[in-house]
Amino acid sequence: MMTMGIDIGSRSSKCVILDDGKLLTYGSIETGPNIHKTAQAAVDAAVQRRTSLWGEYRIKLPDVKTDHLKIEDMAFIVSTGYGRAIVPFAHRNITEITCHCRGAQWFVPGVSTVLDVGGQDSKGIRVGAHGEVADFVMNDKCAGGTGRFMEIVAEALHVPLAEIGPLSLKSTKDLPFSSTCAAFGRGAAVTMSKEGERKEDILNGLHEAIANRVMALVKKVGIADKFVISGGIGRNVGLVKKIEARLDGLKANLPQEPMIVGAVGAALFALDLAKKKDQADVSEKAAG
Amino acid sequence: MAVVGVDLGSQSTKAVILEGDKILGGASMQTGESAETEARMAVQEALKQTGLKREDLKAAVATGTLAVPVTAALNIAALKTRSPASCIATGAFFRFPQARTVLYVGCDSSLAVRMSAEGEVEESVKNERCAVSSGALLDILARMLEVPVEELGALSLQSTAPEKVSSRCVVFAEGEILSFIHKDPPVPVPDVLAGANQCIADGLWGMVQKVGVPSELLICGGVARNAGIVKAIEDRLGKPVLLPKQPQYVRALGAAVFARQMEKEGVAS
Repeated sequence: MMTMGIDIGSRSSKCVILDDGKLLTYGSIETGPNIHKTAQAAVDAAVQRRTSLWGEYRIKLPDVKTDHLKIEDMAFIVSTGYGRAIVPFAHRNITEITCHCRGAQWFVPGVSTVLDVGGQDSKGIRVGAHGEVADFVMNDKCAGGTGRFMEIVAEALHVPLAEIGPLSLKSTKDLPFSSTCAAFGRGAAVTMSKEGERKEDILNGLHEAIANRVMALVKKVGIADKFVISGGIGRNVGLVKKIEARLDGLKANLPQEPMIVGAVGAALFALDLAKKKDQADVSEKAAG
Repeated sequence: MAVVGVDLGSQSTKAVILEGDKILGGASMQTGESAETEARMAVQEALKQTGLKREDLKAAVATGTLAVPVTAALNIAALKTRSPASCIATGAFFRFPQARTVLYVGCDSSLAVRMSAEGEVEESVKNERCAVSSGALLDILARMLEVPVEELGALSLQSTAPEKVSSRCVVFAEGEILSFIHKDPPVPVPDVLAGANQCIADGLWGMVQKVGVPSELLICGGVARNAGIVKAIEDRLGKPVLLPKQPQYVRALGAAVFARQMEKEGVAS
């Protein structure tokens, strides 16, 4: 039985297809202005196995053809993310907090705290004893602790987003990033650049600033073992290192593909719901 | 004796030449690659209006975000830097001694100052952490709507139904405003601008309230040329504000007043 999870994020959209709970395929695309089209394009990316947005696949997928799959082949579809309410073909939508909590447990069993930093928000989730969301905090008011800040600075320094992590690791100088506001990020980066500072050091300072921000956020729900980092920042080795340095010896667990955590959670909920629906159908038939 | 004040803003560099109580000239240059060059050029431009020569300038004070690197470039023996806050207060007090509160709004910084009746800074609040209370959003709007930034204010006053911006972050507001423009039919430009003005004015008003308005409020800085923002502040204040004719020069003027003081005290000799 195939189920689909689709996560329409503010910057990128991800689609995951599970076959009886096993990962069959996934894909991602940039979120466009039209959510209907974006949702369809995310499905196409999954069946055609494209993650053009992030380069290589990090999870080895089963060696079966998937490009013939259609939306109608899915037993159940759950949408999540900021555009979750307007996915036309979804049977149900579930908040991204709940889906990230579920998905994180699929990648890292026994997870206690999840830090998810996406394109335009950041959240901390505390997982309860039974895998439920025990507590969460969210920042979607200020771009300062989000991927958008990194994007703005990367652009100002003419460094591709995917490269800012590795580049920042080559830093040799502690250089505090002068702005905590993402809107000032461009100006701050350009000024430091003009003053002769190296990109490596500017980015290192940026990661330091963002790490402080997101750690202050996630501390509100409590940090406990196992600690999972998900979302776009999971692909930024520079920032992950800064976060690890602030964990008091705790290890940061990184899902192999940190950006699909929410979509995997949605697909798992879809599986639950599909089974429930099956049972309901069976009992209905029996009753009839 | 003529003196000069130079204000190195993040987007433009201004110079004001002062002799006694008379403003002889003023010029503004766009800030680009080199602060030194722009400072020199702004002073040169201002000098042109006065018939004076560089040697006639007996003292100079620089202020603004990049004040330090230019001190060597101006080639004026008596040159000091003063903090932006004190220059704003001094410049405002020079023009309108009745002002007790000053709201300065620049391209990416803003400041609210409360002064004593003698023009001394009593309390000030800066926007350093957040761009929402600055001109940053206006720049973005001008680019997005392809309207010159100077025309935004007048255009926003034509609005009949301002479109509310719910974001409190410039970065997110940009996305929200983009969705207004892409709506079918699109939100009329004046309504987009008026909505954005409310968003900016809310941030600024919060700063003004922190320092308080014991009597008159003066608005200056480049953003004070936007009539829509000024009106939005006046709506919150409940009465007209004091508005200098060329509000963008107030900070440079304050620097010039300090230079005059230096010259008087004989620091220049």
